Formats: sequence, structure tokens, C-alpha cells
Amino acid sequence: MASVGNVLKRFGSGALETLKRLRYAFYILIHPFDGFFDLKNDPKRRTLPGAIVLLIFYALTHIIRRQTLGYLFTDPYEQLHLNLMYELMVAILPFILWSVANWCFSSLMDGDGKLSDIFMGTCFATLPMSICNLIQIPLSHFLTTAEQGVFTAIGSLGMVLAYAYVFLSMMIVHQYSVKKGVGTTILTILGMAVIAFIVVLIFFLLQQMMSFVLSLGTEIIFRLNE
Amino acid sequence: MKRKLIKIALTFSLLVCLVLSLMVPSSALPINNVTDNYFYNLEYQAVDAPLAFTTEKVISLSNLLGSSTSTTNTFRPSDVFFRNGLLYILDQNGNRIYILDEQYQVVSVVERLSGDIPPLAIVQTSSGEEGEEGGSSGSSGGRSNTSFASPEGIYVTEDERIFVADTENQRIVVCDRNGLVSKVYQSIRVSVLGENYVFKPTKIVVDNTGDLQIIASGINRGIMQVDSDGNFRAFFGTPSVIVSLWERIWRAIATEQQQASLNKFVPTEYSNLTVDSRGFIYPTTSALGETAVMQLSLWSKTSNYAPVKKLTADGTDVLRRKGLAAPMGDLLWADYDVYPLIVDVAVDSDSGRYTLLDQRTGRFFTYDNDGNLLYMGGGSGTQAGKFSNACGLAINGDYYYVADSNNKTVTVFKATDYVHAINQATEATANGLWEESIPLWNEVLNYNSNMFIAYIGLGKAEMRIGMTILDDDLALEHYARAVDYLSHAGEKENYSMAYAALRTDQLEENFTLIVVTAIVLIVGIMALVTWRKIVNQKKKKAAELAAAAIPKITKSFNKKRGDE
Repeated sequence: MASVGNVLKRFGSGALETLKRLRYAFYILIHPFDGFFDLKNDPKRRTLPGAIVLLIFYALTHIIRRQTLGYLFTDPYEQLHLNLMYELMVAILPFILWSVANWCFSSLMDGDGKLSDIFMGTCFATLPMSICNLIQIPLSHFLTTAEQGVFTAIGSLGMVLAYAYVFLSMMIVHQYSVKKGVGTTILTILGMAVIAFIVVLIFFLLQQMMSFVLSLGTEIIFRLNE
Repeated sequence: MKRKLIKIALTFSLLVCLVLSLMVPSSALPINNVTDNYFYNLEYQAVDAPLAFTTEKVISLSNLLGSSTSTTNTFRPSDVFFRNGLLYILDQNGNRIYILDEQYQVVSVVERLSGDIPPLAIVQTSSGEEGEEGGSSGSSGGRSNTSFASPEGIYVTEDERIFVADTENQRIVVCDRNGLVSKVYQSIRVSVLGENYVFKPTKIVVDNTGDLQIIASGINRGIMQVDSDGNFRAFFGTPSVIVSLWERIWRAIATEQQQASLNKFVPTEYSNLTVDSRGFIYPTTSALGETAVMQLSLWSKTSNYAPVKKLTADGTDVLRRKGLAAPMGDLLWADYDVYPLIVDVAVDSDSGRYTLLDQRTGRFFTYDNDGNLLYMGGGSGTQAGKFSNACGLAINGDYYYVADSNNKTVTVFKATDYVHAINQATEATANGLWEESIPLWNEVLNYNSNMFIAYIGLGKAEMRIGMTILDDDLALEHYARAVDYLSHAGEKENYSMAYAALRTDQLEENFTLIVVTAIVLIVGIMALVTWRKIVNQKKKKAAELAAAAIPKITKSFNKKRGDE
């Protein structure tokens, strides 16, 4: 019992510490250059759990947005057929893919960042998108189609900021120049495509193998029953 | 090193899991087992609907010969037309026109033409096609200028002059119901087509100015406009050719040989046309049939690839496509791969309702002025009320006449009360009779609660009524109801208007509350900011004091060390 309590206590204090460090995400929002530098180099600022929390938070806002957007700004029949797993994947996968692909290329292009650095930077960069999602939800219930511009402007602001921050964090983490940063970004996007392709390929091969084994099994069972 | 490997493996497996989750087979859209009477819901699925048309009578050759002494035994209706209480049936095989009254009794049969008829001026084509076609309609040499040869189109003017597109005789004949010819149009000169083009008119209408609008087979430049003296005016409403960017790039890359094997971009031919009482011309195209093209015309709702258009005198398309899908006939092609083939269109009275005839499914679809699908009838088959090769459509109020050249029948449909209810309601809405339209739309909903157009009508009516009411509370009620109705109909344009009105009224009503809340919030935030400033200043002061104390301490400390 005591050990369980101990674990809980440790978890609680860890969570508290993570929460404390998460406040730093707002500092990054306003001071991205200093913010991303310190996130990587200051041991007091580093927080991998915090990054994961931010990414999950983004996914949550994305899903809530998809489900509860106002009537005028969504297809109500699309909302009925929402696939939660698919939405989760659409939200999270690009950032994970980006981190992995960027890590692969940056180690070739003498970047300074580790995988955890890249991932942390990327996750902290999603915050503007999460915030804009949260602003858009109540707004969509209050605006008409004539004021659609406001709605889309907020959405695109969040997206542009988030992508800019992803790029910035990558540059700062690896200590790249802008030129090298752009080059790496292009390579990384290519890398993402290649990784996605390979994953899909492996999946299909596995599926084929599975179906082969399964049909073999049924065949054998049939023969045995004869 | 090992930890790193484990981390990578974990990341990769996470990726695989996420992709796997995507690959879970999404359940395919269910194909509903609906009866022959259906309507579409907002997801383009067919749902059952009340019967819109009953089969009143099937007219076949035996009916037509009942009162006539003629001995022909071939009958193949190619077109029907209704004017001034008379139904005109054009027989392509028997080469005659049957004229029936409203009790379906034969009033007259036009077979022999009389009067001053010029000799035939037939241009023979170099290919063997001409001979074959001529063979099917009798011997090509035996053609006479006093009879029709495989006529395909008929139009009757208000003063009962009958215009017949006498296809194989390559002419247009104008006659009265006794066969007395008043005018023949043949050898029409069209300079752009050269000397030896073959003029094979298939469909014809006469517009308000007396000009002939002709669709001829093999001409893809649009509708031929010919004035009443037989002089060619212009091609009209030429279908535009749309070439995608990808096709353009591919064409630029391809070698000459490859280019030769590619499809040529030719505009589609019109298949039929009709004219309404205001002079708008509705041509139809039936050359569609690819999923991509269908999707395009379904979603884009533009004139490109549209199966039906509404042309003004200068050839611009003004058809309103505000409905769920663009007017294109059956939408079940997505499920069954059976593409609609629109072969005829008929316009009903001045309400602007028009009906498309789909040959593939043997159905006809009625749309309102805005392009909303209202109801449908017909079906595929050989029973009464079903068609295997529907080719002509005419409308007389409640009665719909459909010619089928395969079943060799003309079927008369009568609209049911369900259709009446919808027609009355749409007309009330179109004329702005909002108060009157509400019970009418509720009547429609009594028949068919899936009829989302009724919710649009109700929502519009409630919104308009709300706008005329000066009392805010009452108007608010109407707006709220309008918003509720429109949200059921998947409709956004009117919803937005109704919601804007509702919002304005709500804001006005709660104005004081909103202002007070705003003031309280602003004051609160200002107070918070100043309070934090004070706290920060205090902290700063304390820090400064401490900082000032540090040198003293270190000094004394250093002194002590120095002393030691």
C-alpha cells in the first residue's frame, strides 16, 4: 500500500512539475527565438512529458473542433460520420512524422538536435493552432456566413504561426542558418513522404501475409474434416 | 545505445499503429433497398417517398388504329408534343403523326402530305452509313416528297402549325393537321459546314420570334438558328470544351503519334431541346457517363458538362442550380454505375418547373425553378408505367406523356395529390406568399417527412414573416423557428440570414446585460493588471534591497577572509 502511495505521490509531483514547465509554452508563444533556445538548452525548461501533453492537447482541440463546430461552418453530415481514430491520426501523425524525418536528415546535415529536442520543439509549436481552434469553436456558433472571413482568418493565423514555429524550432535546435533550414525542410517533407510510403507498404505486405496464413489454416481445417 | 534503439522501435511501432488504425475498413455506404418511388436524403441516398404518378393509360398501336381505317402495322413513337388540348405522337416507323384528343381518341392522322411541296434534295454521304439507314426506313430510292422518312422531332405552334423534323428526308416540313404543307425548309446553306454537309434535323422548336431552333445529328456547334424564311442565322449556345491542366501538359509532352491516339476535344452534341413560354431554350446533353464527369457536374453546379441548360437569346446559361445536386437525373449512379442519359426535357406552365427524361433508368425527374428536385416517376421495365427506351416527354398540367420507342407505347401518367401539394407549396414560396405557404409545406411533410425542401420552404417563410413583424419578441420566435427548420434541411444561405436576424434581435434584447458584463470584465482586467504591477514593484523593491545588501555582505565577508 505504501509503495502505491509513494508512486502516486511521485506521479503527482511529476505532473505538477510538468504543469509548471508547461507555462513556458506561453513564453515561447511571445518570444519564440529565446524560447526555443532555452527549451533545448536549459535543463530547467526541458520537458518531454509536457511536449506530449501539448500534442495531445492539440489533437483534442482538433477533434472537439471537428465535432462541435457551428452549423454554418461545417457539414453536419460529416460530423455524423466522424472517425475518431482517423481524426486523431490526422492531427498527430504529421508532427511525429516530421520529427522522425527531420531527425534522420539533420543527423546527416550536422544538426545539433537530438530526436527529443526536435520533438519537443515541434510539439511546443502546435500551441498557436490549439488556441486558434479553441477560439474558432465558440466563434463558429456566433458568426454568419457574411463574417466568415474572421473565422478563416483566425484559423489560418494559427496554422501559419504553428508552421512558422515548427520551422523556427527546427532551425534553433540544429543551429542552422535560414538557407540550410529551408533546405532541410524540403528534404524533411520528402522524407515524410518516403516514410509514409514504406509504412503503408509494410502494412500491405503484412496484410497479404496474414490473409495467406489464414487461408492456409482454413484450407488445412477443411482437409482435416473431410 | 540500447535505449536509443528501444526508443526508435517504440516510435516506429506507434507510427504503424496509427497507420493501422486508418486501414480499418470503413463500412461502405449502404445501398438502400428502396421501392420505385424514392427521393434523396441530404447524403444523396435514396429513401422511400410517396407515389408521385399513377399510370393513367398506355397508348399502343391497337388504341391508335381503333378508330382509323389505316392498315399499317408498324409503330415506333419518336416524339410526343402537347398543344391546345391535343396530343401529337410522331411515329418514326409508320412515318405519320397521330393527333389525339384528351380522351385519347384519334382526331386525325397525318400520313400523306399535300400542297405545294418541292422535290427532295437529299445529299448522299460518301460512307455506307446513309445507305444502311435508308434501308431500315424502306428503300432509299422510294422516298417521296409527300411522306415523311423516319422523322424524329415534332413541334406545334400556338396557331397549330406542325413543324416536323423529317430526318431522313433531310428537311423540315410545316403542315397542318390535315397534311396540307405550308412550308418546307431544306438545303439550308451553312457556310462554315461546307457544301456537302448532310442536314439531318432531329429535334426542332420555334421560338417567340418565329425563328426555328434546330438540333441536327452530327453537328456539335450547338443549336442551328434558322429564320422563318429558311436562312441560316447562327449557331447558338455552343457547348464549351473544357480541357484540364493535366491534359494540356500531357498534350505538350506527347509525341505526334501519341497525340493522334488521344481523344480529340470535341464539344458534346445536344440531344434535345424545348422552349418555355418566356422564350428560354432548354437544351439537353446526353453524352455524359464517366464518374469523373458526373462528379464534376454534381459538385460544381456550373454550366460545364451540365445535362440541361437554360439559354437566353444570347446563348448564356441562366439555369439555377441551387438544389442539393445539379439537375442531372438519377443520382444512384454512384451506387450502381448506371449513368443518367437525359434525352428530353419539358417545361411545365409558367412556374418554371421542368422535367428531365432519363433514358437509362426510364425515369423522369421534375425540378423547380431553383433546381431543387421535387419528385420523380417512371421506371425501367416493360410493364405499364415502365420504359425500356424512353425517348419523348410532353406535359399537360397534371398529365405527363412519355413515348417509348422500344415498348412502342406512349404512356400517360397522372400526378397524385402528393405532387399537387408540392406544386402548390413551391408556387406559394416562389410568389412570396409566406403565410399561405406554411400550411402547404406542412401538408407536404404529412405526405413525406423526408422532404427536406419542405423544411427550406418553412424556414424561408418563418424568416420572411419575422422580418415583417415589428414586435421584437414575436419576430424572435419566428426567427428561432426559421433557424430550426433550416438546420434540418442542410441549407446554409437562408440559415445564415435567419440567424443574423435572430442574433440582432437577441443582442438588442440583452443589450444592457452585455454592456454591463463588458464593463465589469474590462474593469476587472484593469484592476488585475494594476494589482499585479503593484505586486511586481514590491517584489522589485525587495530584490533591489537584497541586491544592495549583497555587496555589503560580500565586502564584509571578503574583509573577514582578508583578515584571516
